Amino acid sequence: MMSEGETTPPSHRPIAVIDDDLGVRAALCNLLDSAGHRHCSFDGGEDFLTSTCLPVAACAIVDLNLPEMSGFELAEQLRSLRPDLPVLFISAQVTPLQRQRATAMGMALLVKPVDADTLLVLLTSTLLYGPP
Amino acid sequence: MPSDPCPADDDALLHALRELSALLDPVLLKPALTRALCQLAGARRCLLVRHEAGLTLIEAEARRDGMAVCNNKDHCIAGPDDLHTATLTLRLSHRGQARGELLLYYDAPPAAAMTRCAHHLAAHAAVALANAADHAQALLEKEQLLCAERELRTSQELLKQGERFNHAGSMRYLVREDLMFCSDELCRIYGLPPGRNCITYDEFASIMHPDDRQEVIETVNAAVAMGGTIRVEHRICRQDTGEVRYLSGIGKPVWVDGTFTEYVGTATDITVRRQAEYAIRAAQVDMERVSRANTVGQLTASIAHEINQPLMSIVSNAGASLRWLNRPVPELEHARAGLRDIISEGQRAGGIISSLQNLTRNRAPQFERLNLAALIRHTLTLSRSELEQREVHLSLSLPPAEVHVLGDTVQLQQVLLNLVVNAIDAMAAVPENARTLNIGVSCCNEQRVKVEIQDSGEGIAADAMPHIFDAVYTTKENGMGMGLAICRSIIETHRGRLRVEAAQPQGTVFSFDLPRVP
Repeated sequence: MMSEGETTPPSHRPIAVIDDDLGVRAALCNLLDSAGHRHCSFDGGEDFLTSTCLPVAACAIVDLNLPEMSGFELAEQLRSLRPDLPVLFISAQVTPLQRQRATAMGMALLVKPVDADTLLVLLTSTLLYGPP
Repeated sequence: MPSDPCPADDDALLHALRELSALLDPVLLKPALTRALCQLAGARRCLLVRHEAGLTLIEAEARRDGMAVCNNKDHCIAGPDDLHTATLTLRLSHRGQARGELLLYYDAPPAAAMTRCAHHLAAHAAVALANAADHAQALLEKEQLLCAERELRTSQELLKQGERFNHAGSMRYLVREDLMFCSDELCRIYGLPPGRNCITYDEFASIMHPDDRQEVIETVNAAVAMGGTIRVEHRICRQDTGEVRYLSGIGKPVWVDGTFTEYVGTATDITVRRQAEYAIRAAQVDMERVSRANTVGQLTASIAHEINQPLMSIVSNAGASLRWLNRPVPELEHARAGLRDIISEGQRAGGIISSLQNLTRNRAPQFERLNLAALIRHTLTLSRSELEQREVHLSLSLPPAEVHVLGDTVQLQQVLLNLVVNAIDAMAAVPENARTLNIGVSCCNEQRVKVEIQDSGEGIAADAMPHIFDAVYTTKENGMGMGLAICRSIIETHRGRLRVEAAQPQGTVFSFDLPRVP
């Protein structure tokens, strides 16, 4: 898998979008599309973990408030399954505790509504240089 | 056959009479009488009998055997033999009251001297028996009196202890004399100096807390005027220490022959109970504040979450659409799809806002004819504990005639309560003796009435004045800045206006006017 990841250029590997809100999910996919990124999307962490997208994803954009498994729980699992996979958290409402936890995990946390340009710039730099 | 004794000489007779007079106990006197008759009047046998319930009871008996005389049986029923064989029957009577009979038995008819002696003795016996009976009666009454006194002492002691345990004193008020007699416990509760258990009504009034005095006096006067029961709850300032205590008092007139000259009553120290009630109340207020803060926090969080989702979608779709359009060959179909999503997400956000409004929108006011003074009094009962605890002096000036307005009870109470609580809060920093809340109602004219709520607090800063009715503006540490904004909108719904001014010499006065109805 790692070898596959190294041979495939970042832009050709999909970006995973995990958000339970259909409107948000569709809009993010549209945005990634418009910027030339491939993508796969899921309304819950469980579906992503069992998908074919998991081994190939270049980055995961994860909503914190997911209905079953929370965004943090998903990130914890990804840490063992895909330690190299950078994660960007997004959330409609962020508590200081959540911000602390994201920082401790070394992952970015963006508050909805996230500016489209900011998200794309952050994504590009993450794909090139790893998490901020 | 025993020889007849000689008739007693005068000395012996006088001696015997003196002895008999000294005997005050009927138990000793009766046998002594019969013995004297045997000895001095020479009878062989003598019975003292009493008629009762158709029977003849022997109360004492003496027999003479030679010179010796002795008593034998007593208190048995005399048989026909006893009655028919008597030589002499002497009725004993004193002051018209029968005292029984003496039956004398002789073997031979007695000499005239003996008979005369017997009559002397019998006359004296009646007096002696009457005296002894009176004496016994007096002794009995004395014993009963002592007994009653002991019982009274015990019950008084019990009453005293009961009063002490219950912190309840009792009093007796003589209306015409204007004197109030207080029990020991009541003296202790009032803090009267030792030995001072009788006070006048004016002195009683002076013990009362100044803020409660007028109301209590009015209640008492109204009750006494018609002989009704007095029920009051008020504070007192103890005469010795000045300590404030809460009392619950009850007084009832004592009716005698359709009139009353005194009231009796009790006063119970309910300070501990009242303090507990206030503590509960304070805890409830704290809890309400916390839960209100929680509700506001939760509401904000949920609004943020709900609105940010469509906003996120809108921003992303807009960013995407720009990119589709900015391509060397614009991808119009993709751009259109993004814009359509923006429209529907915008509508989604609008829908969320309007459903939130439905959730928080107040019900339509229910207008009805209201007695303004009653409404104010009712609101003040709600904030009474707050006023007392924060030691705010209340001065209420209501018009003598009833004034009615058209309004929604709950909403107007909400306004009044808000203004009263604000006024109390505003005086937190001034000394306790300078905290005065003035509530006044004045009729500007036939059409309108004006309500003023004035505090003696530190006042509102000049630069804060213009914003005081703005929503989300607050000068309070944990205020929401909604109270006055809501108050003003309620008063406007009632076709009135809520105003604020600086009060002289210090403090703030809020006033609003409302249209009157007949």
